[in-house]
Amino acid sequence: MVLRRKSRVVILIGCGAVVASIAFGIMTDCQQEELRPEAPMRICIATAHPSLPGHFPGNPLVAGALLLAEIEERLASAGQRIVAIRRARFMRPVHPGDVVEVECRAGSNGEQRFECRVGDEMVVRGSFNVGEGANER
Amino acid sequence: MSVDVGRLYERLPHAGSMCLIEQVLDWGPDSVRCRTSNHRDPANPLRTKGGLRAICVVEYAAQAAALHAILVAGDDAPADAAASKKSRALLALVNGLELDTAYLHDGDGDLVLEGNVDYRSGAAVIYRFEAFDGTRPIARGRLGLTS
Repeated sequence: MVLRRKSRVVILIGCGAVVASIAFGIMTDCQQEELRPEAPMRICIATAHPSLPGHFPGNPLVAGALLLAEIEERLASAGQRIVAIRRARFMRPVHPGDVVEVECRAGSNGEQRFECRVGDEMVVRGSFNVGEGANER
Repeated sequence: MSVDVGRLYERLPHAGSMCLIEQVLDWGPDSVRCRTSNHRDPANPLRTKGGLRAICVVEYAAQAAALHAILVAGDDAPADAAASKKSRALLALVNGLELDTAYLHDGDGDLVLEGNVDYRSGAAVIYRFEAFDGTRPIARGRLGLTS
């Protein structure tokens, strides 16, 4: 009986830690923390984002272009920008607070293939080309 | 004949500062030309840390296409009646997009969007578009919308 109680406490503490770490993760993502380009990219558009009241009012959705712009912001820290999008397929809308995990890997002809997921669900996938000069006109 | 953009936006799921197109300059059954100046606005809602990234031209072009779709549909129903059957105009596809510039906010002139229908099938439509800073071409590509 005593053992059982102890194990319950351990499980509760364990669950609490998981919930806390998830919540913390979402909070930092929503603050658009700076990420190294080689690190897994996470993007979260917070509910308070200025684009949301005017984009599908009542059921706010993250604009696809904004998601791509946030991906580009991460590339800019490595001095790169998106110069072309070969293709991008938007498969499912992204909602405020969704944590979008972005995976980029080198494809053929210098293109970068990217996949964006919310949980297990693919939301955007495609490929783009990057060029040097994040801030050039 | 001048087009009342505000009235068109009443039939789209965009409001306030996310109504990005200020004027429809010209349109026909398969083409549309629009202009706007809010790409230079420091309060533009699509700005990220560095400014308004050129990639955001996709949202401008998508809205030009969505406005065109409303114009072509030609339904003159009043806003409240139309509100219940608002077009969703979801961006589904971007294809062959080329960006000559890094940012839109530092442009010299109006942002001009030209769109031409490439393919139309039921609720899906693909537009070929080109964007200009005044008269200088800055981006081109294709985008697909579903309603």
